[in-house]
Amino acid sequence: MRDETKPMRILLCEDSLEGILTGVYEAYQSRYGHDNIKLYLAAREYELELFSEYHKVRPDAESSNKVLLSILEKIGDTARKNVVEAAYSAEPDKADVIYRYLIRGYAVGSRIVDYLSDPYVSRLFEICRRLWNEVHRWKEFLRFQIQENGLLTAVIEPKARVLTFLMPHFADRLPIENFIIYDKTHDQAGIHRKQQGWFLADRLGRDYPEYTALLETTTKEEAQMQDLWRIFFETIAVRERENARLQTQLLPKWYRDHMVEFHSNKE
Amino acid sequence: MVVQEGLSLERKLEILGDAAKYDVACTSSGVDRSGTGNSMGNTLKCGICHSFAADGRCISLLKILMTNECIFQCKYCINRAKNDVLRATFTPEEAAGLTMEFYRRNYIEGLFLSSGIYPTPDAAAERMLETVALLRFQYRFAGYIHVKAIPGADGQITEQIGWLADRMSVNLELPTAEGLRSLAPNKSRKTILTPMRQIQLGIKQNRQAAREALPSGMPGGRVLLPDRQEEFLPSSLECRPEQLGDLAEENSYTLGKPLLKGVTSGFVPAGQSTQMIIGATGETDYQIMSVTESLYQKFDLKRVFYSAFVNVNQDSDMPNWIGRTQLDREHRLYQADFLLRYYQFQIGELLSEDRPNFNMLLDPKCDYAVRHLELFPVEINRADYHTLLRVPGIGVKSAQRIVKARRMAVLDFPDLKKIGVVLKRAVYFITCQGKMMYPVKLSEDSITGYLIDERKQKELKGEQIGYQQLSLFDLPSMASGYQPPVAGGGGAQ
Ligand code: SF4
Repeated sequence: MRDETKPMRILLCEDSLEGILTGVYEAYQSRYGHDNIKLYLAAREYELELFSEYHKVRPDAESSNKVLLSILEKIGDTARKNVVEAAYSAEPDKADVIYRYLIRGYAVGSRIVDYLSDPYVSRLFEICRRLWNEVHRWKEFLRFQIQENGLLTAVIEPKARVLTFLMPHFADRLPIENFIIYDKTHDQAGIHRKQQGWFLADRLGRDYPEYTALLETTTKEEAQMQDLWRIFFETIAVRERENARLQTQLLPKWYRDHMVEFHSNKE
Repeated sequence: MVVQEGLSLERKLEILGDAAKYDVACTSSGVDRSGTGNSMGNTLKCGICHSFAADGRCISLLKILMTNECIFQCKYCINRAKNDVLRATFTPEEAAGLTMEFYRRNYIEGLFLSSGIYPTPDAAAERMLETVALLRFQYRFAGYIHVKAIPGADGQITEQIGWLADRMSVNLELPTAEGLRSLAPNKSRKTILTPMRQIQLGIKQNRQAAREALPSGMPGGRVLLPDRQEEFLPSSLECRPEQLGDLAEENSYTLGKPLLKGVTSGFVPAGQSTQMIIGATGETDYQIMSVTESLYQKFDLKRVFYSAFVNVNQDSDMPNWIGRTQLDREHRLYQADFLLRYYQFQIGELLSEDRPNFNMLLDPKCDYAVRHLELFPVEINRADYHTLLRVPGIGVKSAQRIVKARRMAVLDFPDLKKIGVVLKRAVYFITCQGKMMYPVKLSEDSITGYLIDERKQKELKGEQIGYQQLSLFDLPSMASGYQPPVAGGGGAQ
């Protein structure tokens, strides 16, 4: 129950798993009453609400780990996965949804994943679904270029932090290649070394701007290969059945920036 | 015949991609295979589309013909022997090389290889085998490969291809033997069904062998096939499904061993598919779908594809492309096909001798419901899974979710919306706690009025429609689910 005598307390969390879970931790610790607390993302734009107090949450690995462990113990692994995925999503309401999902989860345990008619449970699943949709889209639409030294490079501009989920896919698929996938939106790079696994590197663009520029260079041989792909792409469409609307629905325009078939090398 | 020497790779790709584009199958689905750590590629059960062409079709595989030269004279095909078209042939190195280069760049999931028949069925099949072997052995390619079996080719070659491919398909071409005789005089039910049966039995034996943990493959040898395959599919327009009796004694074919150990996971692990041309000959929907049903049941096919006939050769004695109507029909067939595969429907429930064609205003599932009002409305909180599946607007996923969610709470209409039920359609057929959402009088006419295809309505308003958005069904994935159909009329096998 909302206690009207207390101001609403809004916890501003950093947009990261650690930031959000620390927020959850502090909300619980404060004993201020769940109905009197909301979790917002610090970076999100919001209108200041009257009769509310704003607290900034400083991300803390220890608090966040405690929450993760307790989810695992008291609610289960599926719930833990869902929470992690939601935290990587690009949805603005994710912090509060995770918080409310956990409140219910702690009450009912592992059965929480079946409470589909609960608004927060269904919203959390929706958030996860959207994340996986985007991850899947990048598995489809990401394009590598091959550089002179044989390095495969790809640049993407995702909404969510998809690299964590994309890298295992490409590492499994291309174990014998060196490759880099650069997430321009979050300035993060996934780096895979031939038969040695992968890691993520932050702030590549900030620290080495020349390097991220190199990732987008196209060699002459590469341009030829891209032309061949364009030929195939143009040829395969059945003209009688042209349907631009369907094409856009399945391949939204914002994915096309880095797809060779939608750009000519000659421009 | 125009044969041109020394075509550039670009030109070849243009010709042989163009010649292959009428083949409908493009899915890369059906098999999960993780990378091995030292080969190139993996496959995902759900398949992956890597792009969408201007016609909205998914591009998942490099779809090409090995050659568009052909000694056959199939009436519906642009590559038939007597046509005056530019001919080209890939070398196995070119085809395999392109596949690898495209794959590394994440343009494709793998290769879809078909071929004209030239100079003989065996020679054509051998060239395809060579290409696939190059990919698997030399390039250590572990991505997806779909190969068309060549009718009339030696079973041993087909078998070796099967050890290297993920999926194979043999096109049935026409739904009936009569249609085949008139339009594809060089093919016969026998040359088509023989490899289809061989592949089916091969898959079965390979699975069994794997189960019994024997070394893969069986003691191999001769390919023995019954020679009266024709009997197993309806041979005339008087199609009676019950005739499609049980064919093939289990031991009519014994799967041999792969010549070399490759990186694949068994014999045609993603199963086989086929394709029929619709509307070139006079079959009813009921006949077509009966053939489909028996293909699923008797040949264990994974998918049947339909392709509306396009008169690419402008033959005066063949029906002309009439666009929308043909596409609509094709669309209905795909919907019905979906009901057979995922919704436990039988064709006899959807169509009959007296109602041999699909309702063009309602999709088959709505049509079924409207004609069986005695079964509705059903109570969401009680109806079993099977019954829920029959409700228009409830797909496989939402039915599963309903069954789960109602264990935790009594469901009401707003909950169904969250679960993903298309209420617009479902409301006429369901109750929540005994109540319907609106007081609708259940009568066939009034419901039909409400349910008429959105597409039809939009069409009346002159809008262009995406096929995907009007599909009633939960799609398991874009690559393996319902595909926007493509016009048939060319291609090879
Ligand atoms: S369908 Fe195949 S066999 Fe028939 S003419 Fe065309 S390429 Fe030749």
